Amino acid sequence: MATFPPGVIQAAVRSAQTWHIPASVTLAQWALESDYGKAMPPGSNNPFGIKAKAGEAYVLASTREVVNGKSIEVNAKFRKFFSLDNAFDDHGRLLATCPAYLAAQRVRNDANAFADALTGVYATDPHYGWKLKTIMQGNNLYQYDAPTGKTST
Amino acid sequence: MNRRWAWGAAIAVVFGLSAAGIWLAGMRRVSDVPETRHSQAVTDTFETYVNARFAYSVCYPRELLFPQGEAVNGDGQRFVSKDGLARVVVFGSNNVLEQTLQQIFDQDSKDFDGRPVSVSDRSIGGDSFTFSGDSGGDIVFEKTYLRNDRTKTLDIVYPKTAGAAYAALVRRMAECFRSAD
Repeated sequence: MATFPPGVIQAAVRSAQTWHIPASVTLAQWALESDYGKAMPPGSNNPFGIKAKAGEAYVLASTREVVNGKSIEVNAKFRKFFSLDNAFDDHGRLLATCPAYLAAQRVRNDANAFADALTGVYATDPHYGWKLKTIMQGNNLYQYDAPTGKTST
Repeated sequence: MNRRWAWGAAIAVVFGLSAAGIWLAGMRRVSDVPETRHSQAVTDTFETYVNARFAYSVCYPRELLFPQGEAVNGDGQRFVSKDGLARVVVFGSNNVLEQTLQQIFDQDSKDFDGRPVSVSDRSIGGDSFTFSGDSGGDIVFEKTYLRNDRTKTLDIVYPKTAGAAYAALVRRMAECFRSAD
């Protein structure tokens, strides 16, 4: 069982109370996207890998690739948040209000179904929902969800 | 007399060339139906998609495959073919479940997009694997790297009936799918 820092759990529960999305899924996303806090773009406070849109504060993630025989640097813009709390709140708002997550919003009282509905939308990875559910089950993250008495398998 | 002969010869040449042109055009229409797609897939101008978050790249034929835009988390993106027959997905992930390369291979080669796979070709070793096979009437191909506790995966699916048209494309994309770390 992995370690979830108290500050991360509190931020996920607060976001769940505000936006009515399962804290268990948010915590699993934190673990998967940031490798338990070890792999965030430096200086970003962005554990969810959320990309920056035009006009949003950002940090750059860079990689070097050989394209057409030339080594080039490629940058991607990732959201920069003031704090982890700010990141969790924005992540919750995104999943709770963006029309792209309508399928997830419809099953917000079912943590496993909510995790599955993020596959192919939040992430390209076709195993995204399965990975989230494996983390949720392996760490008993459902204990942080508001009781609804409904969880699919 | 010479002028009349010259006119006759000219008309005969024009008719002859026209007939040959029509015949050749007809031949091309018949014989190029499968070949056009094949040559398009392998001779198109290739562009390169580079993923900065997970440090990988893959080339794709820009006239045949259309990128659908990166996901919110920047892990990769989907490509859809112009004819709607082929789907390409490329993505990275942190290996927080601590799976071995063999475990990922076993999982992915057993079940592809929720459908069972009959694997016909496989290669596993070092820090990567590839496999191809049949899944519900589709040809499926996957190449995965496991490096520095991160996975980078290329999935390609196309109907068996499009076989030769896409086989060359798979070879090319598998070759140019690279991990930068």
